[in-house]
Amino acid sequence: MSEKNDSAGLQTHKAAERRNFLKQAGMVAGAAAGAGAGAFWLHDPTGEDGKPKPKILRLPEGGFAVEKPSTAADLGVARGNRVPAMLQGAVDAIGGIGAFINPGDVVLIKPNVAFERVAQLGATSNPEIVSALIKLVRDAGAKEVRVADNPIEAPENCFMRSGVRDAAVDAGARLYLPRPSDFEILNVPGAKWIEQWPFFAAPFRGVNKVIGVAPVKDHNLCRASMTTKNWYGLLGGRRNQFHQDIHGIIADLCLMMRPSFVVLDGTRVMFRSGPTGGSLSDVKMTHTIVASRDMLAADSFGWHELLGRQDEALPDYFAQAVARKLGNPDYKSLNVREVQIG
Amino acid sequence: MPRKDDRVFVKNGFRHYRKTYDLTEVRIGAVLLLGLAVVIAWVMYKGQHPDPSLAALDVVAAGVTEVKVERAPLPLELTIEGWKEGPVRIFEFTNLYEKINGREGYYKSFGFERLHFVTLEKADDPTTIVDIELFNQSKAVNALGAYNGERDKEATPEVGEQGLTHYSRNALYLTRGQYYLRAVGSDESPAVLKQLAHVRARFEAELDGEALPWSYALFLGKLELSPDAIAYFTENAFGFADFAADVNVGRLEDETELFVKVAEDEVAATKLAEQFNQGFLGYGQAKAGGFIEDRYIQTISKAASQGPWAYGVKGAPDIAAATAGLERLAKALSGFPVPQVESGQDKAPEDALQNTKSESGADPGEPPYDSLEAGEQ
Amino acid sequence: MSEVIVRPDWLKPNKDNSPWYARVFRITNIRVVCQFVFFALFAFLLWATWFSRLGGYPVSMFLEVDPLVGFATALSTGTVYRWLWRGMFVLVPTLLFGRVFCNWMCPYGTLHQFIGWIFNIRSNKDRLNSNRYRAGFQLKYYILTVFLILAAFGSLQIGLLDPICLLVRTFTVAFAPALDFWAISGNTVIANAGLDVDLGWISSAPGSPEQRVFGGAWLVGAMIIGLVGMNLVIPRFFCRTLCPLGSFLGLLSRFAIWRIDRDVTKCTDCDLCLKGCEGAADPQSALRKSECFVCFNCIDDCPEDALSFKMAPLPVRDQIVGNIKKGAATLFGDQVISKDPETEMKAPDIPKRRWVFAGIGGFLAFPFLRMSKSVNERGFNEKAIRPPGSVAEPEFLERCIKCDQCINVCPTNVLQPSTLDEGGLEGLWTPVMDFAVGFCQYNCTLCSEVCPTGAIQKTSLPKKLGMDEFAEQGPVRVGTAFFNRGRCLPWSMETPCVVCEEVCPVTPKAIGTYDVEVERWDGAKVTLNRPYMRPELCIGCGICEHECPVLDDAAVYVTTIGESRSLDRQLLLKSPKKEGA
Repeated sequence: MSEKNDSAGLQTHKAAERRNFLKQAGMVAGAAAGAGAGAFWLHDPTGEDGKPKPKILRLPEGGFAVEKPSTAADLGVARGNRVPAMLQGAVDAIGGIGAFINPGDVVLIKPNVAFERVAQLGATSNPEIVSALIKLVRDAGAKEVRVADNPIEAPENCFMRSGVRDAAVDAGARLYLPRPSDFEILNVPGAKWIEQWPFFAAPFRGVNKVIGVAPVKDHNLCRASMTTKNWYGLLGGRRNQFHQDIHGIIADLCLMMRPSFVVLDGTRVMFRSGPTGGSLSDVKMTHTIVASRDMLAADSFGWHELLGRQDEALPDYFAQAVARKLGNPDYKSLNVREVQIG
Repeated sequence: MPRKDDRVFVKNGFRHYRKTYDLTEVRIGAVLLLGLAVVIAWVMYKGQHPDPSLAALDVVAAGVTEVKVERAPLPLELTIEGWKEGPVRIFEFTNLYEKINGREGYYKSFGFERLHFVTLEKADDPTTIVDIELFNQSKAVNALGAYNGERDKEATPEVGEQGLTHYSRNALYLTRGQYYLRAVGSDESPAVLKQLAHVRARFEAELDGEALPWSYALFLGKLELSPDAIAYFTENAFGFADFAADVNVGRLEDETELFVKVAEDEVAATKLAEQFNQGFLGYGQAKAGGFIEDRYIQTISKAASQGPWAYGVKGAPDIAAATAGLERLAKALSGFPVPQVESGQDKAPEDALQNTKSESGADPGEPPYDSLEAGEQ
Repeated sequence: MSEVIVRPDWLKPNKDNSPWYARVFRITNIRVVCQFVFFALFAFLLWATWFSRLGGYPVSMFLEVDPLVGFATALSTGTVYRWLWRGMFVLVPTLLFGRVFCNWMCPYGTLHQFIGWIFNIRSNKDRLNSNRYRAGFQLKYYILTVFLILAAFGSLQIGLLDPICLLVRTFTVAFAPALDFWAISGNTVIANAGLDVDLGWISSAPGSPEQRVFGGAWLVGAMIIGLVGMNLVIPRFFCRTLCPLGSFLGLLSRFAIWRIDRDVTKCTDCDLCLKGCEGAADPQSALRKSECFVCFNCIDDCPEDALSFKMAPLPVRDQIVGNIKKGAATLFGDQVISKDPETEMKAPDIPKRRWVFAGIGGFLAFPFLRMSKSVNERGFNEKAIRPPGSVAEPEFLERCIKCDQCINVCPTNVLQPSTLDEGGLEGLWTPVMDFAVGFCQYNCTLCSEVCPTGAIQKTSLPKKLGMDEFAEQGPVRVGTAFFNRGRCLPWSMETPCVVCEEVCPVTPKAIGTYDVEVERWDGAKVTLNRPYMRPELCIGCGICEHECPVLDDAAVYVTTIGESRSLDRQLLLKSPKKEGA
């Protein structure tokens, strides 16, 4: 240090050092406080908070069902060869499309596109019906029409080969193919097996009305696959476990989904080797389209009249669904209106 | 002190040191870019022209029809020596037009379900062929109707126990239960005719028909009317109410209609005949001998009964013709085996999938010749 | 005062008064456009390799145009399959101009060059030195030699390092699932925010309910990161050191009619031409024709205009008069400025004995690989199930270039790149099926459609299904399913299940059931459909194994036994191949 004490410079420097200390101390305090606050907010003493909590969805109370007008029949049966006219006739019989669809509705149509089969093999919904239904719904003023299904085989191939992709796109509907981010856990209160199950939720966001379109098929396990079994295609996860109690599952599906109405595609019937079929000799032309609010009534009609199994008892799932008051399979006691088209 | 290399990206990446530039490079560059555009255009063109078989929706192209299983109604061993069989093709309701363009409505009006088509070819002469078309018309009545409609008026069908058959120059036609077969040869050469005969034999052996409706046996067999003169009413025959159900009618050349209905027993038959006569009286007046003359068109009608048969004539030109007709019919009926009375249905194959109301046009309640007129193109 | 037109810098005329477009559209910029377009085309074709996007696009175009693929498969199979003749489109320009492919078309080259350029923070001097030729660049020739000898013996291994195969494989196995992951995460975030935007177009596999996964993706990903990252150490490391296609084209470049020529009367030995030299081809000295990528960067950097792209120039060394080292030399009357008289080196700078050693390596490699048992017929891996339409295994190994295009297009994700464990080095990255992940879609023949070399022969749908004219020979079988009854629910656990029979796609079904009524241990009566196999009908598609609810070790599983491509691996005496066909 030089003899000349530069005490003024030293004082300034020391003052600067003090200011610096305060600044640093402030930063230290801030960092410590931040760490402490973080530790406090995120504190999880038992580990419960850290467990994944998937979003749980619920469908609207009462599903998507609509009030029945007094003049409407319960079951509309149209026979003939011209699909659009038959569909119109069947829907008119149960009240007309206007009784179900209001202008501005977002409507979801759920066909059966489970397998990669051409339409003639009867394993999937008739694309002509899908197309006609979309047009019908749009004419009633729907804002948006969606077509969705979660097939068993590769989705792109199934939609293409069955003809449903082209039918839906050409008729102006929006196609929803399943993606990994589309599934959420659905809560179905009172269900036997699927109280909480991964559900194809993406197409349901903002939907007001749901219409099912199912073919009439024999089924090796549950003996018939029609409008009730159709909702299987809305579930994800390990569906291959369902075969351990298929009838209980179908009853659960009836509980899960209360559609606005269903269309039973009886233009052709896969009367054996279902549900995959695979040969034209498994298919018969029956030229019928049924529209119904009641899925069990429609299925029962299909069982007796289209599959022609009057002498056989109904599959178990009917009894289970009836026990939960989900429909009336005794269609003969209901108001059935038949229409002959051309 | 900041590091010398403390950057992420390159500095002055485009800097170059040449001092002169050459327009030749630009010209060559233009050619190269053109080549690039050609490549892109080719790729885009290929993209718009995919291989159709990858996305085939046609059932056959998607490889669904299995030759062995689908062959089902077609008998095996259709060929004679020196002939070979081609692939079997199947057409159903939605694509029948692909095979029979224009005429498909005719078959559809008769309850068409499926067509099996196969070509037999002479091994050493591919131009000599026989085309076999087997139509499944879902019910025997329909098959007969379709058969009748296409039959050449001159050709007389052979009435077999299980169906009708006839030849027409280079073609064979037959019905067997719900099936209607058409086998057409390329010419009338002996080889073709021999093959046709064999085809007939095979079909008659293998295809299960069923007994023709008894009315055919009666009208065709005994009364020798032509098959297109036969009609069947499930109900409302002649516009009459409930009792006029299951009435079989055969039309004579002079427009006289002979009608027959089976009743449970004699008493019922007598009652039926009475009801018919009452019906006729409703638009006519009684004449001598129990005959009734229509007040508008002056044709003669009368009903009678014989055993369990209720029968009669309608629309005869005069009383003489009516009497002759009645006698003819009565004679044909005597000794004719009485069929079982089934509820409302002519003898048709038991088929649970059928619902009589769903057949468009081929409603058994309508007389075949009516739907003929509707179906005739 | 005359009007001064103010223009942006790049539109101003050049210092030599040539117009602005002579600079903007100079050849190196054209080259960049070309590289960009080919890279975009390459990426587009990879993106389009999916059922809904395929149309008629020639998605394997780059693989088919790769002359090494055509040449090596010609060596191994004796044939030029389907579209591989299109390799001529690259071969002929190479014979004319040299390794133009490497810097004008090759997407992997473009990737390396771009990464090496954009992150290059070197000073000019360091850049110069990084582009000098090194002896290590000879390695690619040894690799090529070994590969070609292996191919001649019947083991096609070029796919391990061929740049196009490598890039297609990397995209399929590592990059595309990453893209899918981000698209899915993005979609989840967007969905939770309530917006209606779909990022599915990014995805390589739209309409898949589950994220695509591939075995060994980590290795492929590590490779790409490693190889591309090496560009920051040695520019164009892969292209200069490892690329077998580059070395193949390099060997052919000796015939090239055009090459970069240095005018020794103008060259001042400043070495600036090395600053951008992609191939490390020594343009400042004797141009190595086998290394030059014809990128034209050297022409762009020469301040003396000493470099040009000349047609069939001869070396001038023998024409120089005087002592060039002392600066007192002339060439045809002009003074020679450069101190280096060499201008051309036609062949790679490799002494003969190294070729011999490489050859010996190739000869030894084949038996070492093939007798490693994994793909040998004596010890073959029965779970290595090949795609439908594949040729028999020895032929498969002659054809498969491990490009993984089949894996890319497969709609169900069942095709997986084989790991070292499953197939050894010979079978590494070849396609095998994993039924835990997917199953073979019945009506699909896409893999056979995109395979460039015929390892999977183009198969029409009737041929695959055994329909129409193929009814006699039957369907293509990739294996047979077997039941492990001890794990099957209805056989061993008194629990109803019949998923396998339900999903079996063939008609009549290859799985039948014995239906028994059983009283369970708890007294309940239950109908059990107990499945059994009909091996003569099974095509090995694996949907039964995939759908079996016994997840850990499926009660019904498929092995390669009974596959129709192999006479050796038949199970039944009565298989169609043997029935007097």
